[in-house]
Amino acid sequence: MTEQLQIQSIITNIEKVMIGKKNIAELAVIALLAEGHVLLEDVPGVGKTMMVRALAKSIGADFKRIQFTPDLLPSDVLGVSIYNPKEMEFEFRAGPIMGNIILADEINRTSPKTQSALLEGMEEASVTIDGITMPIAKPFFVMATQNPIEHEGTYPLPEAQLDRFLLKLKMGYPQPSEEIEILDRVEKLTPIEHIESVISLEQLINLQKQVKMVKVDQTMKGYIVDLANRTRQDTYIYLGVSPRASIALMRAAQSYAMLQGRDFVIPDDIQYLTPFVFGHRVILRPEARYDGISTEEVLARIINRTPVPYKRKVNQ
Amino acid sequence: MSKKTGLSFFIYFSVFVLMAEWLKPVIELTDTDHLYLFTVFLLISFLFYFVRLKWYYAAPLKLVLICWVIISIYTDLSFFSLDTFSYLIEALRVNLTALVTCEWLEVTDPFRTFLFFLLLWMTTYLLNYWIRVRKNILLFFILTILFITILDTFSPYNGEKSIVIALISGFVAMGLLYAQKIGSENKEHVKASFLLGSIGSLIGILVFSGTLAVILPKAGPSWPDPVPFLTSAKPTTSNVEGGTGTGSGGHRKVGYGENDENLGGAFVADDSPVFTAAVPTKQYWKIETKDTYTSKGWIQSNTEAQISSYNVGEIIQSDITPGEEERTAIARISMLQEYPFVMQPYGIKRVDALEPFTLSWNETNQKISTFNGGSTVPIQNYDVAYSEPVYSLKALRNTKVESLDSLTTEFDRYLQLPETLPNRVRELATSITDGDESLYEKAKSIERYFRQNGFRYDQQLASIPEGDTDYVDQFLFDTKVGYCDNFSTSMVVLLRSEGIPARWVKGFAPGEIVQREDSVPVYEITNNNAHSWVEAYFPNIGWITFEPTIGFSNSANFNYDLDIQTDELEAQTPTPTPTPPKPKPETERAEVSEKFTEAMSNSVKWVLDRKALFTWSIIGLAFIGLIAYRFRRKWLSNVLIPVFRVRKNDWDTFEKMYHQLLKQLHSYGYGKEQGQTLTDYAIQIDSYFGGNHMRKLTSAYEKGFYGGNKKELDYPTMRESWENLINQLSS
Repeated sequence: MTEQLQIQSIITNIEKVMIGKKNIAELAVIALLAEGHVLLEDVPGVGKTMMVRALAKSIGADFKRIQFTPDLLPSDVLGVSIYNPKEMEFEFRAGPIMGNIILADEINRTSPKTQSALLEGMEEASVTIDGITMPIAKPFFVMATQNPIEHEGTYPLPEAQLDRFLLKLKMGYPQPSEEIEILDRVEKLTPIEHIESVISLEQLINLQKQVKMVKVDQTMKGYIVDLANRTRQDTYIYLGVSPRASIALMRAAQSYAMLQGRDFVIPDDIQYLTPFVFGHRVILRPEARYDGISTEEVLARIINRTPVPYKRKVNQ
Repeated sequence: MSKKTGLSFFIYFSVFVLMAEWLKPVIELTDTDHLYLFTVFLLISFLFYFVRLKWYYAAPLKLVLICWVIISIYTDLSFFSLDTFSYLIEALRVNLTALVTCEWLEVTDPFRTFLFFLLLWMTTYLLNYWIRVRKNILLFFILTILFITILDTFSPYNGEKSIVIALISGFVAMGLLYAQKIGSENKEHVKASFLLGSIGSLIGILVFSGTLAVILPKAGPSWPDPVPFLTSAKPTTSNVEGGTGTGSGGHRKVGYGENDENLGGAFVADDSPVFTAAVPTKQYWKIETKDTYTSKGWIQSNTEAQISSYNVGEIIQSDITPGEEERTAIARISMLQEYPFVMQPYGIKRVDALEPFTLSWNETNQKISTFNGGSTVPIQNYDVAYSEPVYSLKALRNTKVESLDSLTTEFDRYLQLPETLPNRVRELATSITDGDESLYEKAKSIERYFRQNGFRYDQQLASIPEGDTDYVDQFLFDTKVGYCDNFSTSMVVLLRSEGIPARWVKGFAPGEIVQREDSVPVYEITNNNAHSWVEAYFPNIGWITFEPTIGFSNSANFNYDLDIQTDELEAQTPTPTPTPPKPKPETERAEVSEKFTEAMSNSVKWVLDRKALFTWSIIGLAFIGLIAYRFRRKWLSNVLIPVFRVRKNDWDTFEKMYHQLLKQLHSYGYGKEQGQTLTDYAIQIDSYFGGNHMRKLTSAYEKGFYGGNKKELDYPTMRESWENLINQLSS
């Protein structure tokens, strides 16, 4: 089975439970393959959990869910050392972060301290508890959700923390026809129960390795940097993206290229992914909001104005 | 130093060496001093480029260096003084003013130096671009080699070492650049050891072949040094007066002059009339002859002049016997310029005039001066009675070489030749006349020689012999370009070389008919008609004229009294080319030189003769080009497709084809947006034209370009799609 088919099979699997959200499923898989994490911003009940569970089941991975509440403590996420009287020593009880696929629900509702415990784990792929650093099992994929409606009693993630997410996705409501199909499917049975794993964890890790082999031409790197630079210079943007964003875009593009069955990145990959990678990493100026311009529009404008390299520049 | 910077260093260094080879001849040929300062400037420029010093550091540093050089060369000022600053500002102001007002001569030397530095600066900038960006210096290399070879050939500069240095450093630079290019283009595929090996072997081959080439004996040049030809062909202005010209300083004007000691040089045409002559037949107007050739020109020998005086109307005893009495004709001459001598038609008998004066015939130079009282006076109007001498062709053909032995000593002055006359002139004379029986035929062969061996008539390109160069030798063997003086002097010298007495005649050519008086044509003779020709003496015949100058015809009359009428007639049917002198070992080079100069002068002439044709061709071509550009859509596909068909099916071709297609699409108004990806664009194009050719091409291009996978593409299919699109575009 080629890489593309393996990936496609995961997506097909997810689609069994998710109707009409193919691109979200794709993007989630892209993030998984790129060893990144996803921030889902949406109202409850649109199938976030369902998707993550389907993803976890498809790859036969351990699925953990953390429901973030204001009183959640870092140790509730990371785990805790408990004194075992029989053994006469402290024994580590791993927290939910030690799973493969983690759904961090309503991450903005917990305190920054707990948030950063998760985010540190996401970035470092390891956790430090009682001075002992423990690596997190691979693959490790966090899908955090946040509710954009509720503002009371929430702790919005700081920009630096948002940067840790590879992609930020919005699900949105399904189309009426799609919603009917959802109803049809769940009428008699629960589809999630019937999902089988299509690839093994080893295969997934192998895929993650393969992603890094996807060729990114020098011109494509130049294109990514060009785009990043333009966010830093745009008049509507108060804070442009960091070099970490450029890395993220490149990694995501590699992953997407593999999904498309290519072993090289083309400008289309980059253009497609830019809003998802850069969207949560730029801060607009207040002027933009007054002019009624959204981040997506600003980014679309930047993409339109950035020349796509298709010729070898003489000095390359 | 990493391997990469090492490579880069060697590239810059060899290009610097190459560039320095440009500097050397320029400095040498323009008499400029301080070569090392310019070299240092080059070195520093390249160093800055090599270390990639930012321009805002490099430019001021270089400027300071230039200023320092200028200050230290041209002034005694200390560089770190206020005076220096004001000197620079003042110099800049003065020179910029001069430049703006186009007063080129006002530009001072320091500023010229400054401009030269700027030129070097620009050149190094360009070279840096070639090295860093284009990674190709082939053009520069070729230009350098051309520059050195041309200078070596056509100037005093000796490029023997230069060419070796330039070739080796040029090849090294190109090889290294190519290695660098391969290395940077295929980082993954090319091993460093492979590159190092290639560079090593390149250097090895160059060192080996270079050493071998230097050591091995070399054949002599197959072409002679063309410099003498060119320098001599260059119209040199000099202060020498003479030839058939008069005038003072600078350019000489054509016309009659007394001094012929230094012949040669260009003439400025002068059509001011000298006299008019109402005369029934075309006449050469003889004024005088000269007998002593000095290797630079003509002087009169110091023999005591025997002068006979005649009155108006008296029969003059000339040393050329006039023709029959019944053929006597009258030439009515009206002088428009004042000359105190008579214009003599051949066969002069007497001079009639209303004015009172006496005539004196000088036996030494056959000049007839006009006197009144004790001093020479110019006369205005006079008639000359003459009867053209007629020569029996039969008698001429019976002139024997042996008869020359019986010549009296008074002919010695007509056999004089300078001791410095190169031997090859004599050898040429012998080879021209080889096989001719009679003296007359020998003279005729010499006369004809000029018409058939690449000689060319030109008043501008005649050269002045410099140094030890012999005027005749230069003309016969090197330049082959000149006017009457060259031809006539050469013929006299050749005749004398063969032992035939000959003298150099000065006067005027017949001129042009301007009107008719009672059906007698009136010729107007201008300064442009000033001419020189040859008289040769054959025992038993006397003096007879010859006209070696191309474009002029002989004035001697013949009685075709030959028994066999089928014999060739002179002038009308030229006899076959006399065999050119047999190449002798020592004249071999001269021989080649002759051919070379001939070819060169012929080609120059060929072009000059067709100036109008060339101009019109250029205009025509430009017009055709314009039309072709205007209607390029119609024919472009017919050109593009075959052009690309002959190329290989590989990535480079495909890349070019694809870009060509994008360009054509753009020019037809289907341009790609800046932010549009190729895939997106291909979909758009295919929706215009139908089919999926553009998508096929684009995905292949993307695979090769972004994916670096250039080997597995199906080029023939791509070509089909490409041709399809190009055809659709132009239809």
